[in-house]
Amino acid sequence: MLEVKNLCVRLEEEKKEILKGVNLSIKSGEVHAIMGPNGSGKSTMSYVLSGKPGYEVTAGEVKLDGTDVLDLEPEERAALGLFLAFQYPIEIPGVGNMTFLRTALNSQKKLRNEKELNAAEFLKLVREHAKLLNIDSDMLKRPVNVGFSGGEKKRNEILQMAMLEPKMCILDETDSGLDVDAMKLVAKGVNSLRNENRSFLVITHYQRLLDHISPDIVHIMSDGKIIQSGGPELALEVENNGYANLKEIS
Amino acid sequence: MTQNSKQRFLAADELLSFRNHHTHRNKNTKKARINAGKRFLKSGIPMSKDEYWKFSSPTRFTSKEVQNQLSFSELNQEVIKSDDEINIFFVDGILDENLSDLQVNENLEIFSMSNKKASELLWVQELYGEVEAASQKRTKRALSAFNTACAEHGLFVRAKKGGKHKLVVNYIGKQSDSDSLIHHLIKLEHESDLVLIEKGEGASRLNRLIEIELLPRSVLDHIRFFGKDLLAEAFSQVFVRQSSESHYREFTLALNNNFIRNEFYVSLEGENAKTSLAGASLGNSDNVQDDTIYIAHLMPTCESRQVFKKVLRENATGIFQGKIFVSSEAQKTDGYQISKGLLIGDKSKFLTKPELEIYADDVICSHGSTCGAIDDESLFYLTSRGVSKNEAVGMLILAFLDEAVQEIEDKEMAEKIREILRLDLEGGLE
Repeated sequence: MLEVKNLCVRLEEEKKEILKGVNLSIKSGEVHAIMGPNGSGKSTMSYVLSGKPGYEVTAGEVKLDGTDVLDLEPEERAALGLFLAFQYPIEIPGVGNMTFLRTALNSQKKLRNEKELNAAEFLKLVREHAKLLNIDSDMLKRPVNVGFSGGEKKRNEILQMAMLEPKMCILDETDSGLDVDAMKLVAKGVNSLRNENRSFLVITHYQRLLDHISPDIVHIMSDGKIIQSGGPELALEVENNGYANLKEIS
Repeated sequence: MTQNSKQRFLAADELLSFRNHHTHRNKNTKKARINAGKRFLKSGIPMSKDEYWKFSSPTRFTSKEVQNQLSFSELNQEVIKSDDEINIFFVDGILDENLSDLQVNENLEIFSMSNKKASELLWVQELYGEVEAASQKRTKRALSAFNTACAEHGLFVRAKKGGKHKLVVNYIGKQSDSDSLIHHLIKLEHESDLVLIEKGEGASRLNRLIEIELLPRSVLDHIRFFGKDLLAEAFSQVFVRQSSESHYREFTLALNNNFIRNEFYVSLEGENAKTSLAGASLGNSDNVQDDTIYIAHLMPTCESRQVFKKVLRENATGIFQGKIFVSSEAQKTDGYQISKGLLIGDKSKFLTKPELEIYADDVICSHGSTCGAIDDESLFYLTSRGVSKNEAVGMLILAFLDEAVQEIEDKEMAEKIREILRLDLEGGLE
């Protein structure tokens, strides 16, 4: 599904190197987690994969289902099935949540030469998904993320993910700012989307999210590299001993 | 007297004689017209070096003939009438009495300035030129005095308590040399309500002035849509005098209009009066969109709000000059002003001059002005969902303008404005 090879990235403006040769291979249906201390490059990784401007890829490649994505615009990557759930979802006053969702969905369909959804089809679909995430019709009508609580914003991200049906989902610290109940609700939403054709990359600081979204593989990132990979037990080890004791295993 | 000053007065004299200002058939405005003519002569024509016209040149409005003649034939000036509205039409600045619904009923009277009966209305005699003249004490407004002196057409509207009417004034342009000089009077009696909607520009050049008097506890909702992609040179002025507990709520929409100078003078003369002015504008090519506002707080416990948002593309220039004046009597004043420019591309400009002049010591007044580009984070958020960059920019423009649209009290109307904006931005930005 996703193949990242020797990915080296620096900030365009500061010329500061952030990713120093990341290798990652995620197969269809797998859930991978990336953990790591602040500043290790986790969020940068998610931004570079989804095409955020401001980063310069100095070496390496990223392939999604065999397609090299690094030269593609963010909207083209989205249409290929890449989705990033933001750590801090953006507020867009004046644009209704439903309008936004429908525009996004149909823009992707257009790029893929698929039939666009009409208003009735869209409404039916959005209601089904919203119900599972406890998103009421008021939240759907409001402008995108405006006046939403932290939990509502994250649920809205998962709703977008459910509607857009991506193949490769990246969750960037989706648990940050959430209480336990909100986190469980978000995890429930994510778990309901797990299937053999869809893969996840879950970026988090803490093991607690992984109690609810159990990963197949856990990676530890430090100083722009993945220094260890292993099963779910690796997350527990980090939880107990911190990152300081982990050394690069090559 | 310098050569320039001489020129200023000579030109004013010539312009006034050219317009033959006090011969209008409406007799009860004659005295006001003569006085306004004197005010105009005393000020002389405005010039670009005047502080008041610092950012946009007034010369286009001071020539005798229309310089910028337009072709209206290709314009889609769609007119939609609705049953619950009273529709009035001005064609090339002239009231079309056949098309218009000039009605008089127990709580609303609408007269044409040229109507013989309008010559007998006492309230017209009392109001015509009054608020405009009072405003001159604070800032010289030569072209406003010129309008009062020379206006040829206009409406005299008076609403009384009972029944909330919706009055829609449509301005349609046909002749390329049309030069519109309109002066309306709107008076709301005690506890009356009116919705006033103005649409279009309706001439190659226009100097349009509205004097509004709001008596205690009356409410005027005023929505103005200058039209879309129009090339007129428009000078619009609104003068408002408010009594206690009256409420004036205004919103202006301008979409890619060539030149608009949009002036407000609001005088809060009764306690607890409220006023809210808001504007959303989109500019492209060489558009100039100038909002120049003066709010005078003259009595205690009044509130005023100004919220202006401008999206400036290509070589467009956005101008905002807003002043809140608070007299020493106007304690507990609450004044708010914000103006924001969104610059798209590196050639557009936003020129702003927010001002506060406060003589009372117990007031809350704030002003802010910002200018920036499209937020990259937001753009990335939208495109990462599959929305094309072009469409995403359109969405962010809508989001930016929405702060002004939210000021509209009538939610249905606000939604209509959003729809107009959405349609305008739908085609993309190229």
